Amino acid sequence: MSTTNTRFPTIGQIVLGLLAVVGISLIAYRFVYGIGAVANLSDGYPWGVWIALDVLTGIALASGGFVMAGTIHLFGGRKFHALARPAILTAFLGYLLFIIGLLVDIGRPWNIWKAMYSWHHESPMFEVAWCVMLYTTVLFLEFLPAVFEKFSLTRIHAYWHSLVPWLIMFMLGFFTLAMTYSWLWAGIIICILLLWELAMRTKLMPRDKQMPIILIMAGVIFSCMHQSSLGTLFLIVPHKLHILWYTPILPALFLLSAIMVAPAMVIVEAILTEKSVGHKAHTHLLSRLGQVIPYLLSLYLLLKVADVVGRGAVPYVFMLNAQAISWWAEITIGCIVPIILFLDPAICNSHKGLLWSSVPVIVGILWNRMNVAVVGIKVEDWEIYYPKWSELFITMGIISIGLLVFQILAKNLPIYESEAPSGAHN
Amino acid sequence: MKAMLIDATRCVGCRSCQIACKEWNNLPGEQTEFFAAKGYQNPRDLSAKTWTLITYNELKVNNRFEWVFGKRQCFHCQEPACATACPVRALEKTSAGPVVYHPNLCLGCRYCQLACPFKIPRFEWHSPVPKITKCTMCADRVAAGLEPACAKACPTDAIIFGERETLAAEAENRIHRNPRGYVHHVYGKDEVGGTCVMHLSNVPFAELGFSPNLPRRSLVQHVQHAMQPIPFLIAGLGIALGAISWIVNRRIELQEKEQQQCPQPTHDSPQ
Amino acid sequence: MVHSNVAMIIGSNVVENHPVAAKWLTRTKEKGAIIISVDPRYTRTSSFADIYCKMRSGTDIAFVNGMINYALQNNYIHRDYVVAYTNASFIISDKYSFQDGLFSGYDPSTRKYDRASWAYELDAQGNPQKDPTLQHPRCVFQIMKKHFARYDSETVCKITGSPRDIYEQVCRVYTSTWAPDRVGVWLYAMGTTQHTHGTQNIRAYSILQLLLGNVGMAGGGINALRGESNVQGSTDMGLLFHLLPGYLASPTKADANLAAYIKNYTPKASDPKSANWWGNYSKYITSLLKAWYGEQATRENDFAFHYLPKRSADYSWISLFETMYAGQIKGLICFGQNPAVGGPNANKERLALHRLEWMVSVDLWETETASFWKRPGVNPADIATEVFLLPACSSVEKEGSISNSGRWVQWRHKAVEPIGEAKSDLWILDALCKSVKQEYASDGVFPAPILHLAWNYGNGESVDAHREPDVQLVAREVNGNFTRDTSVQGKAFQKNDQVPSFALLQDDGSSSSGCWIYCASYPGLEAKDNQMARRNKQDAANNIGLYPSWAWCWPMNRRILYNRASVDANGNPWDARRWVVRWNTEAKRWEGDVPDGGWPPQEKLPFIMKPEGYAGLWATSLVDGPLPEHYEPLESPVSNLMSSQQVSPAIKLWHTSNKEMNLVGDFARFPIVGTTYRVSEHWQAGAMTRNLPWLSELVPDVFVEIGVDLAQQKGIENGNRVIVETARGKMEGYALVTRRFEPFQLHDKVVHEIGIIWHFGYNGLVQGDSANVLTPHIGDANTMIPEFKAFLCNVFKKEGGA
Ligand SMILES: Nc1nc2c(c(=O)[nH]1)N[C@H]1C(S)=C(S)[C@@H](COP(=O)(O)OP(=O)(O)OC[C@H]3O[C@@H](n4cnc5c(=O)[nH]c(N)nc54)[C@H](O)[C@@H]3O)O[C@H]1N2
Ligand SMILES: Nc1nc2c(c(=O)[nH]1)N[C@H]1C(S)=C(S)[C@@H](COP(=O)(O)OP(=O)(O)OC[C@H]3O[C@@H](n4cnc5c(=O)[nH]c(N)nc54)[C@H](O)[C@@H]3O)O[C@H]1N2
Ligand code: SF4
Ligand code: SF4
Ligand code: SF4
Ligand code: SF4
Ligand code: SF4
Ligand SMILES: [Mo]
Repeated sequence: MSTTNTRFPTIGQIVLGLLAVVGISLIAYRFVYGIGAVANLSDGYPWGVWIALDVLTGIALASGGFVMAGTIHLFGGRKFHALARPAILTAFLGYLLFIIGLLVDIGRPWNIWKAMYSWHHESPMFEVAWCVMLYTTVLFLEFLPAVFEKFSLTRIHAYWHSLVPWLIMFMLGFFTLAMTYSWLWAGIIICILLLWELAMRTKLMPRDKQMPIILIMAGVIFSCMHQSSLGTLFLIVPHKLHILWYTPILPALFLLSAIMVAPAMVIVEAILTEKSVGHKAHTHLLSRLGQVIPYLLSLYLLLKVADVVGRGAVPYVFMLNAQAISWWAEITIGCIVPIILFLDPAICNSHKGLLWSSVPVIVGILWNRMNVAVVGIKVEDWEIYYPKWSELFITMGIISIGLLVFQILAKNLPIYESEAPSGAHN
Repeated sequence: MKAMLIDATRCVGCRSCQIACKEWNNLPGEQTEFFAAKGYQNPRDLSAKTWTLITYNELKVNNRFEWVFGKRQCFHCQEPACATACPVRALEKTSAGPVVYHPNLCLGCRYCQLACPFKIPRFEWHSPVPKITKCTMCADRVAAGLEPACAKACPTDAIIFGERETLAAEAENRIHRNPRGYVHHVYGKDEVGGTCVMHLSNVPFAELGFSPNLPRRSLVQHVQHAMQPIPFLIAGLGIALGAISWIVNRRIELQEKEQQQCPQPTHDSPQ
Repeated sequence: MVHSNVAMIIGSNVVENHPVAAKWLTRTKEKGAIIISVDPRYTRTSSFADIYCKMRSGTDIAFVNGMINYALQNNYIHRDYVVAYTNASFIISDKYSFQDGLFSGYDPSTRKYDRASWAYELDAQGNPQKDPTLQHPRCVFQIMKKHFARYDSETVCKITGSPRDIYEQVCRVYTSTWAPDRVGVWLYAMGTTQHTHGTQNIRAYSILQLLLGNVGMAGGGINALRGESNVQGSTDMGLLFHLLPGYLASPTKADANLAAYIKNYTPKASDPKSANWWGNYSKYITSLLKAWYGEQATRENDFAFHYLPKRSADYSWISLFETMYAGQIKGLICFGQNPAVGGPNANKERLALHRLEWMVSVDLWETETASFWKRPGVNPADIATEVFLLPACSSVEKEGSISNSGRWVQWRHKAVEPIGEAKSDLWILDALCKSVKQEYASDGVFPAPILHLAWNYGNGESVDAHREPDVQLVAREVNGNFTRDTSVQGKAFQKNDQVPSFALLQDDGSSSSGCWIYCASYPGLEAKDNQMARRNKQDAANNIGLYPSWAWCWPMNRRILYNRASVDANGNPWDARRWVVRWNTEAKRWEGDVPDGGWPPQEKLPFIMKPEGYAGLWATSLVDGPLPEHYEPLESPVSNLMSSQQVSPAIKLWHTSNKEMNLVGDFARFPIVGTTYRVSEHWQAGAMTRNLPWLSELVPDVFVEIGVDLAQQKGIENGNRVIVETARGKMEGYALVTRRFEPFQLHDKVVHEIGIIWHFGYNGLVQGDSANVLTPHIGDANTMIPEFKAFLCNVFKKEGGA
């Protein structure tokens, strides 16, 4: 494990620590005096930055986990292996943070477990809630090997490996049951998985020796489901969401944009953590990733434009109002600029270039989610919303906690592999 | 299925209904200063403390000055977007008509607020144990065989309560009897799949602040379209991912076998 | 109202202030009736109406006289009705004249009329001479024609500022009800009465209604929408300053003894067809005295008539407060009244309270009156008045009767126990009386009227905090009983039997009745005999919504007054579809409502309370003229277009007699007409509603309604704080800029009007300035009701205000 000696605590860590303390205090305040005391949310804007940032953007940005895991373990991208663990850890922490954020945002968090028994499969929110719960479990399971390794818990690791598939079968089966209320469907899903697992056990099918394939696959399924369902959430408000964003293909756009932001996230995270965690980024892997990005972005852009044209919303693009401007900003920053940048091989091969081209992709996603959740929502004339300082500080506090935990874990667990392509571990 | 019919041509803006609602439902008064919107309207909007609101609209219709009063409250949709949105069935469409709320289930996610096409549900922003609030169609009174408090209080019978079909027919009838006195539209009869609170008016509904051009079909379908394929998706993804990984990994395995000297995988299977 | 074809709402905001009445208007509107709203501003009533016509405050007479003229000129009158039932055909003395706004007999030095010249020309039997052809130049009809001809629509609109086309539409639509099968209902309230010519406003309304034959009909009549929930009951019971219960006159010094009193107030009729009901005056006053003084009222002592206080001065509101201001009144008991907010010229009236030695406020709340001594801007140390606050309980915390605008007396049961130390008004009065009796028992000037009061309401001799007086006993006393075994009209009664009808009251001391018009409301001794408590929803035979067994209605459970005018000479209804009463020729009796007397059709005339039996188009009873004539309010922006009499010649001018704090403003300084009114959301002086968070939420502060044009001229925007000023005071409020107030184009200028709600004061959950600091001390010539509805003012944006 490559750990570099850095001073502890660094300035950065102190700042993060302070932010975390402020955030936690504000959260305490919120639980005594209500959400209204710390946020500018209102009946006109029931969802504000917390949902747009912590939930919609947070989840989209944590897509690195399933995208990388899928690429490496399912789609034969083994060469990216070194990027798997960091992505999984980021995603796992990301989801944990998102859950904390959610507990702050929802008004009656003590009731959250009621989603386990008061089922309402018609609600996309129900689906999101279940997926998130289950996917976080998946991420946890995916993250465990690093712990096992650190503490050399080989026996437990072995148990884990053999038990996980059954656990997954149960989870997916149960999930299907909750979504369909149909034993038949649950049975079908379990059968498929069972067949697959048996095929692998009987060596009919190749089998990944480190990760139970089914675990990875469940991660991909859950992710695809809820990344898109976050878009579905907004399908119920055709009358409220601005025509520039309201589209029946919103779930697909959400999913696609989550996938396309994954490589950008991995790049940014790898480069940024170089210093703080003290590992060496795998430049060649990152530039390979960078080369994929413009294709993904172009596909997304194409879809988006085709959609706007197809729904006859073009005139609205050229209106001089907040929505149109914000739409252009989203498109320009999130798609057009990075496409141009990434197409330049020089940029793709330099750390700096990769970093500064990836950032706009991420900002673009953030902008898009803000647009959908806040800017594009039509409300009464007198309702205005801008986040209150405390709202932002709570978000920053939560993120700070996440960053600190990430640093600690990344330093102390075998997360980053050395530059050596062999990947031999120490 | 019980319903309410609110006839703006009979409403005289006395606000007995607004007060009766607070009285029956034990809602506190709000602090106001002057009037919050046009005419005598107060407060400005529905809130956790105000479940129904009379709006004052000074209009010029057919070159005649008109002062028309609109009543805002939950529509008790036949296929309520709020209830569809709710992940835990904390909002429920009852067979009696009212859409009711179960705080013991509610998570406070406020998706219902976003979903409601009429901007009805309100949230107790300043409470540590906040609830979603909205007009209940006085479900407790209805269950006891009484009419809702606001209908009871209305001195001019601008609000009437009864079976939905009867009221819908009565509404059509009123338009038929006095075609020049009404806009030929029963708001709520078909909107978003039909609602249990219907309105009549002598001015275009948009002038009273009602969202015009709402689809006749329920909003729920938009979500259903996206939700129905879920099991197929799970199964499909399961099969597809399996197949892809099989094919891809098989090829890699074969490749690896061909180049025998390839390095071993980094981590051995613990077995 | 449900039976009307046209409803005229003038001088009242029915919908906002009488919402339950509005319910019936809704019903009639649904049946196709046309609703007309005439008001200086567009109100919630106007929004409900089919036709809205604006009219400058204080010009009702011009407006309606023009309508009368329209009816007379176009012969839109119900002629048979007019000839048969009104005094249109009566011939007036040749000494009568009318010139430049003055009727004959005026004495400018006393500002009073000698009414002798307005009298009818009598024939040998003492009956008025009549000309049923209505051709005689001195018959009422011809005099009227001439008088009203001056009010052509052009002139009228120059005075009122109404748009001429709409005004003429109003005339056309309303007078269409002259047809026997069309009925118009007339609704009014304080917009009509609160003027120096308020009574004449109503006269004008009645004349038009009579000409159109709309009185006595189902869906007709002129209907005062009465105010305070039980104000009808309170006037029935003699709470007006010049009356005893049952509208008997309160005696003056001129009434030396009972005989003189009876002689002075009993009208005489020589026409045998006139029922002249007031001919029974002696029976009612004697029964009243028996109710009050019981055994102590005997024939020998003139039934204790000399115990009654004799009125020696004007006890009307303004006069009382002027006297109080002059320091001539020692004490005041305010029983559920809040003069510090509700009285005109409030600055003066508040100061008048300082001059009292003591004041008692019996109220549900600590009102502005109860706390006048600590109001903003005064130093309590400077005020010597001793103030007592007695907590009263509210209407739902006690039992009793309540009389509505339609004279229905409904019994209400107690719903909840009183809060805290609150006591019912009856308990408070009972305790007060017993204590005063005790004081007088030992000492006092002329103690007999107090000590001899028959006072026994079933809760003992002394004051007991825990025993309520028995309100049933009060109700039974109001009805009255026989004081000895007797037989009346061939029927035998025993002592203590309740009197079943006022027709059986006697003037020999054998009967008592606390209020003769309520006689028959409680004809037995059991609680079940309480007619007021009846709740039977069965309608009468005519099915017009009389519900004769729901509660009780005075007189004699008659639901529509003068109903015998709704039929022709043979007892057949003018309008058979909505008949009120009709004569059944076979059974030889009336059916439908309780008729105004059971005599067969031709035998008696329908207007039984008038000495002649005819309705009065011409009135000699009012002090300010036999016919309504337009005068301007005390403060007016224009000079009177009709004559050189600027204001009513018969009103008492306080600003000349009591100059202090009675300033009158002029057009130069105060060019805007001001008026005051109510909103649905608040009640009166506000104590009842400004202490409720729900209602305070709806209307949290005083607002001033200002038209868009005026606001523009004054640089005022909606929601600005503005100051309104008159010669007497200034106040602050929010500007509500609205298109509902429009300027008036008068004959020589454009005049703006603004309106202010008067519900606010310095106490309560929400507070604000009282509009009454603006209003003047001036009253109607007949009733002395203050002119709250028209004065001159100016309005400015408050500097530095938001
Ligand atoms: N909610 C509520 N209801 C009430 C009351 C209350 O305080 N609140 N008070 C009760 C009492 S005691 C009473 S007496 C009644 C009063 O009932 P209303 O008479 O209906 O009451 P106001 O609002 O004083 O005046 C009525 C209308 O007269 C108009 N007006 C002003 N000047 C003139 C004029 O010169 N001529 C004519 N024709 N109209 C004019 C005003 O614009 C106003 O709309 O209401 C009773 N009902
Ligand atoms: N500028 C202006 N001034 C006006 C008018 C106007 O139009 N313009 N209108 C005038 C008219 S029409 C009226 S009627 C007067 C009204 O003037 P007020 O009669 O002085 O006004 P209210 O507020 O009705 O006062 C009634 C009081 O009785 C109390 N109360 C209620 N129930 C009970 C009870 O059961 N027992 C006892 N003891 N007290 C009780 C209430 O708390 C309240 O304080 O104002 C007049 N003043
Ligand atoms: S109006 Fe809104 S809150 Fe009411 S039932 Fe319909 S969707 Fe739900
Ligand atoms: S806030 Fe409560 S009622 Fe509304 S959708 Fe969420 S859980 Fe359901
Ligand atoms: S139905 Fe009941 S809850 Fe709804 S507005 Fe009316 S009174 Fe309020
Ligand atoms: S109670 Fe009836 S008339 Fe009054 S505001 Fe409400 S709906 Fe309109
Ligand atoms: S008397 Fe009472 S019920 Fe009747 S209109 Fe007035 S406030 Fe309403
Ligand atoms: Mo009144």
